[in-house]
Amino acid sequence: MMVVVEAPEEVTGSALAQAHRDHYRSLVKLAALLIDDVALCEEIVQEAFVSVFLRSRRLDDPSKLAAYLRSAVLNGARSSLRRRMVRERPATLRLVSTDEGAGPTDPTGTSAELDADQRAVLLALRALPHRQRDALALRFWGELSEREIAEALGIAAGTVKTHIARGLAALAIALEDHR
Amino acid sequence: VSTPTDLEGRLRDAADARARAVEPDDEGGALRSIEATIASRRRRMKVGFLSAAAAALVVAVVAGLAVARVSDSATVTVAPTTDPATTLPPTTAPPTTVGTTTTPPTTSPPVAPLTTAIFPFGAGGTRYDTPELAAKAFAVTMLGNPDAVARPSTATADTDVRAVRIDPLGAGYGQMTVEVTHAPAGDWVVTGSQSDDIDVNTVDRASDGSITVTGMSVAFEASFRIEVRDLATGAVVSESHVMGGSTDKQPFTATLAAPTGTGPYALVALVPDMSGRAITTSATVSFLAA
Repeated sequence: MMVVVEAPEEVTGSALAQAHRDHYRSLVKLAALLIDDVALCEEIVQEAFVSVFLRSRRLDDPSKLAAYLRSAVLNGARSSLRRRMVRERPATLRLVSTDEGAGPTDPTGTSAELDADQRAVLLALRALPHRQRDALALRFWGELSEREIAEALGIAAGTVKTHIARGLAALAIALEDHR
Repeated sequence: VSTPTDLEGRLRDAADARARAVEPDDEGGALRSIEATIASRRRRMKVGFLSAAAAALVVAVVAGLAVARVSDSATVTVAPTTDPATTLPPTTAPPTTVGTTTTPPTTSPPVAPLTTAIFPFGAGGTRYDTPELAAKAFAVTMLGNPDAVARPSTATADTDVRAVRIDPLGAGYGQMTVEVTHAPAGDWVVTGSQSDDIDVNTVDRASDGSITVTGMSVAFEASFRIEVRDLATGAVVSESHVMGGSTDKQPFTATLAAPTGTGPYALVALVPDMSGRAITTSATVSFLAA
């Protein structure tokens, strides 16, 4: 049977506000590397905060909080890509369809901010197996160390190195004809 | 603006550009929404705990009363008075037996099923009390792996979700990870699976209902199958044979005809078993709305 341990509400409240100030924006931007729909990214990040702050044991070690939140966001993004995008036009396809620039088919308008090479790189990143994709996003946008990435993904640091190397190799192949 | 030429530089450049383009809409509103959701879920958790405690208390009280009545029936007599002329005859209470004392039926509020569950099929099916049992039954029943071996489940970022590695043939290859979720009714249901050999990256539904699936795969002679199954019956309502990589993962694109069922569905990408011991070695399965 699952035992649910709650944090005292006043402790949760102040810690939540602080964590929100420290991490909310960067986590939305992290999710936005993987998903085009910014509103959906915000939903995923909010759900990550809820799941982490409902369990007090996750608050016992504040140094781990960022890793828990990143992990929850990456898992939420993966689940959303698998479950929710089936009802909509997938983010990656939207990105492809707007190669000519932002237009009416680009609901987020992000294409205007990205040039063709940046869009191709993001598209190739999103097509990678999820561990490689997550590891590369944390490494090259979050600038996290291998140890921090390992904590966020719940894997060994050596495995992080492997995922990054394989991800870069796959990206190089995928982008071979683009430059 | 110059574009970096090395791959890592291009990746940083693209990620930075995307991050600069994204601004959260209403951060204050987001914090209030998070706080409200946490408070609401805490209330639900407390109500659940209090309901369970109240039910336990009712059972305990009823059981206590029953025991007391049995005890009374065996010992109720009136002690003789000091006046022999007025001695009352012993009285006994009507006989009471434990067998006729029943706990009044208690009803629990209906619990909504997990709407994104893939297995077990339909309502009122088998309940699985552990993540491992649910994952193994999924591999045996839904994927046709009679020799499937379920490893002990591991935690994920969501405490209600566990990951179970399945060795489909007990042979150490063709493995997959099954995502099992603790349903509101207390049992465990399968909400997805990830084959080591097939990554489904995008699923696109056209206006005519046809489905286009893209991803990366590796399989014997590069060939595998994608099916759409109706979750009400488990029946295959659309399928396609697909070619990916044969020695390492290569991109694939598959188009399936519009499913003929009522939905919701499961999208099942199956690696066929060439040893003849099972139908598949592993599968990547995800929920597909009606």
